Amino acid sequence: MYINEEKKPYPFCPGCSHVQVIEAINRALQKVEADPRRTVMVSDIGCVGLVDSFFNIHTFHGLHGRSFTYAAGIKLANPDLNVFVMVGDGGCGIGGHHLINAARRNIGIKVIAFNNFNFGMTGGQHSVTSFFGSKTRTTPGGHLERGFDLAKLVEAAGSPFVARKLAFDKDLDETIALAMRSEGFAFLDVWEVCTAYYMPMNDFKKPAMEAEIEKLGMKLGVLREECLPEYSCTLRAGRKGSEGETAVTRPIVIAKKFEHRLPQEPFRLILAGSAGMKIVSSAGYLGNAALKCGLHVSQKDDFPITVQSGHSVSEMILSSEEVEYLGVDKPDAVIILSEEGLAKVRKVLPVMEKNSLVIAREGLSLETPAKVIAIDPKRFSNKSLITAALQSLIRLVPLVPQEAFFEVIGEIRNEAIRNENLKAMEIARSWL
Amino acid sequence: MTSSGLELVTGSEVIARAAVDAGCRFFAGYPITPASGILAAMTKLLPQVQGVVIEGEDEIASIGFCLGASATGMKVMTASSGPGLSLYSENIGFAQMAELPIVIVNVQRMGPATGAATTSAEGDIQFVRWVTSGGYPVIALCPSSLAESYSLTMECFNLAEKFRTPVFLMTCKELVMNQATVSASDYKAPLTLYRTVGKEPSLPYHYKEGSEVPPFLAMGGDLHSRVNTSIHDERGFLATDTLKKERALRHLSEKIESHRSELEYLKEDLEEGAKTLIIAYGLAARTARETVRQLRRRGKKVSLLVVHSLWPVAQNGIRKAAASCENIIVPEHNLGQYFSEIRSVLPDKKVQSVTRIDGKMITPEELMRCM
Repeated sequence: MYINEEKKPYPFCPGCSHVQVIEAINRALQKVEADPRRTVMVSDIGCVGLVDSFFNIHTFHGLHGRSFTYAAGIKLANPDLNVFVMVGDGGCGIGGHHLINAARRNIGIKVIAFNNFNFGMTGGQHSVTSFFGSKTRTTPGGHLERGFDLAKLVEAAGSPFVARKLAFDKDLDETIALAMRSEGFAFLDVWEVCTAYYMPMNDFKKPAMEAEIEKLGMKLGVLREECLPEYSCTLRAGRKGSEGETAVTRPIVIAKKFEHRLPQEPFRLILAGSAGMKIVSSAGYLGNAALKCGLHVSQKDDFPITVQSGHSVSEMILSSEEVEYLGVDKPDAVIILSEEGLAKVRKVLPVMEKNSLVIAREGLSLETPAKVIAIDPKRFSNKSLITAALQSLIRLVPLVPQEAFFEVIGEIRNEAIRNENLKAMEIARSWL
Repeated sequence: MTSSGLELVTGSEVIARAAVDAGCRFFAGYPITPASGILAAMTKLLPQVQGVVIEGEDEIASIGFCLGASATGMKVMTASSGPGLSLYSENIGFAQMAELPIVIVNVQRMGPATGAATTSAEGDIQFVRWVTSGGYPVIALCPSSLAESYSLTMECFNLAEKFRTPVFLMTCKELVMNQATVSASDYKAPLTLYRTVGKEPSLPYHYKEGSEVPPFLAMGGDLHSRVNTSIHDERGFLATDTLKKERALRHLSEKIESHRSELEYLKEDLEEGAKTLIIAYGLAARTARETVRQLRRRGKKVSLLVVHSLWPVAQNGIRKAAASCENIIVPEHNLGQYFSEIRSVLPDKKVQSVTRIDGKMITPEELMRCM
């Protein structure tokens, strides 16, 4: 029913185990009564990827080793679908990262690994599961590496359902059906013979396979069966109710309320200090005050990747027209509140114009033709020094009215921060 | 979006919003500066509209998730920067071959390799054209402002759906991480398109002419479908016949090439009598606009053409805009990757390349020196 019988025989070498496993999958789909319209088979590269066209269900044939990601995407998009993956040991190698992460996330896809210990399609090269000492096209003197125990790997990654079976097992379909009925991620490591390459080069028939299992102390059958929350359902369960299809995407507009005092040319400003001095957020306050005056603003922040240490710099441009050129090569004003901040802006200070302004913390050594105003840091807290500096700036330069900035500070939601800033503004007002 | 006033916003937020407004309900991405803000913004927005957002284990997984979801009929997006685009490469080829719509935002930063994560550049212009094997055409749009980031992101979804192909939004660190003001009235939303849905089961790649886009059949839908990364026939089966193979591959080119005229997105600011035309895109278009503003204030005549569709090259519009000009200036934040395209479109004109790759913007003065 799930396989198009008329297309048979399968395009595999005589004796290849793929036939038995695919037939078992077909029987398993019948056992679980999978709805063909809601069932998706995902495959990728390798001999096992040759048989998409034999299936009467939705099929998705993708790139080597990436089938886990496509299957996960399908399941995440539509958790109601039955999604299973047919992949070779080659795909489990090149897509190993995706395999362990799909298992870790517990996305409810079912993975059947057609594990025949080598690359059949490309001529018998070793894969990540080829055994130590085994001979392949790329290990003629015997393999120097140990193969992955795929089942153990995926179990360690957190898969709630893990089984290892031989392709010859009569109850293989039962185990596949069990996996398909499970809620979450499921993984079946199915050991096979590759009659074209691996079997003849290593005399690897069924007894040899069983001996290998014995030798490596491996177990067969269902190795783990647990019930853990499935990811695509958990994701949906955690959602809050819809706030409407588009309500979340409206712009947060600030209407013009005050008149700005800026001449035609844009005003370029740099605020430079250290982490913890509220440079970036205060630049935002000035930006919002400018918006309340209908000014265009551009703000570019710079701080080290390691937060709460080092410099903190904001470059701002205020303009009556839309700001196009974003460079601040020759600032009209610079505020410098720490040595770290100074180190970042030292280069622009000598190129500033005579009528431009530097507001700096007392004691910093500056070389600039600009007019310098010093702020006594002892009068202000570390976090509100910037507010005092901005207050001074808008008093000395025609930019935005005091009321606009005062209003923005008054709108700060956090009460403690708001009060600290208002206090700093009060001190700065009497001090200037 | 008609309320008056200004908004101070980052490009990340604008792109995320535009995606949601375009109907995007699936986003997967891997953190990378300067594109992480888009992942964060989508993480905030998508659950509110019942969408899915997931951080992949790497870029390969992220685009893989997107393509799986796209195959179910969802509008999908991912965002990264140069190093991530490198990892997307094979799956971009898959999206082309399997005709799966996806929007890929490339927030360019200084390359090659890890380059400089927090330094702006626009060096992926030719990379995105030839991003995967085979050399089939891509569609890539490029905003130069936040308002354009909004409308062009939405256009990317429309084109991805219409042509069933990956579509790129080429932006840069400076336009995505900075905050800037946008007039609320400048956000322009195009009409939203959806892919045409097929009615014939088991014919997921059916087209009469190669230039047609096949109607879509969803994975898990009522009508049986197949997706195939290999060259396939109209049923999605492996094509072995040479004629069928050629037809399938020419189709990938023809479905875009035959619609080139619809894919010309340009913004003209031409001045009668001007002999100089600046042709610019992205960040450099901002310098170009500032230069034009300053020159016109001084009474000098100059024209500007801002290119929003980098690929395919908008040949007709470029020729038309340049018709009466003698001096063409192409400023770029790379070593002149689009200059070569402009020169081949305008073989009879004097075309000057202005380049800058130190992370700073080209200045208006640098452009004025070319006049």
